[in-house]
Amino acid sequence: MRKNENRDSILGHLPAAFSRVVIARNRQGCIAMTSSSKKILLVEDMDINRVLMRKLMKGLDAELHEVQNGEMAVDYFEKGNTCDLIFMDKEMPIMDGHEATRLLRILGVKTPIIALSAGDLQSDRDLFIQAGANEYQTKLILSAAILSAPNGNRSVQGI
Amino acid sequence: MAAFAQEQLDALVNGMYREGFLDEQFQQIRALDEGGSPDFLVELLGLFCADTDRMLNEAALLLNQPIVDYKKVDAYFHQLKGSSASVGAHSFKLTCMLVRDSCDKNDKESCLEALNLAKQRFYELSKRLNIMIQLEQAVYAHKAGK
Repeated sequence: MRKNENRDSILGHLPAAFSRVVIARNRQGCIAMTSSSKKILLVEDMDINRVLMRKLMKGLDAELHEVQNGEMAVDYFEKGNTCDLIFMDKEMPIMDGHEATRLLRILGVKTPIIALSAGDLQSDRDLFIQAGANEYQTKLILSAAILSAPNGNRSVQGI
Repeated sequence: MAAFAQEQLDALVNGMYREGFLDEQFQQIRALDEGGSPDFLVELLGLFCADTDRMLNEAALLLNQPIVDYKKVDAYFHQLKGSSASVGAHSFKLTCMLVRDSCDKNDKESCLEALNLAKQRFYELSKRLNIMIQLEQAVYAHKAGK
């Protein structure tokens, strides 16, 4: 998939409006950026990547929830929470992204899942898509795609 | 003064790309602060350096045990490989991969060699990153004071 196609595909999943957001801690103990109409769940174990994603998502009309592994992502939905988009890391302790994706689909979660990885192995892509992910992106391309979208046109209807 | 600091900063960063310390991912991260304060870069690089220092020390302790838990060592270097990839620390990331290869083979001697290389590479990188942060802050302070 070429870079422009990547961007359109990614942006198609991003929320529709554009405004400043504030970080707050919600009742479930997840860190949430409030407050707006769309919810994104970030499933990522590494602090640095969470800091990066918060920065990338800043300015979007989105509420960013974060959990640190696949098991917590599954718990999030089992407790009755919902969201509009999931960013799922690949390698995480306790439960990895493939397994979490597979279990979420078994649970009946239909939320779009974008798998994220530092690498770009075809075998990883295949495993994630087979598990039920909608898209697979390397983290570098994701950040480039979000950064390269013009302001005000950073999101496209899609969710 | 600001122009001099900017020149120094540009020379430093270009040198780091040229020598393989940094890659394209770092360009993306700098672009997040374009036109604004370097606070985010300072936060991110500060987190990276602190975490890396801690994990390198913990991995060294594990490797100096009579019986080495290679899985734990590998887990640290998986994290380090991930975080270095995220900030664009290219050559350091490569050394992390070398350690992981040695862990796969349960080869203590080559693990220790690779760990020393990783420490050296990290030391060289963090020195440059600290100078970069100071120059970024100096440039921004001058621009903000205008």
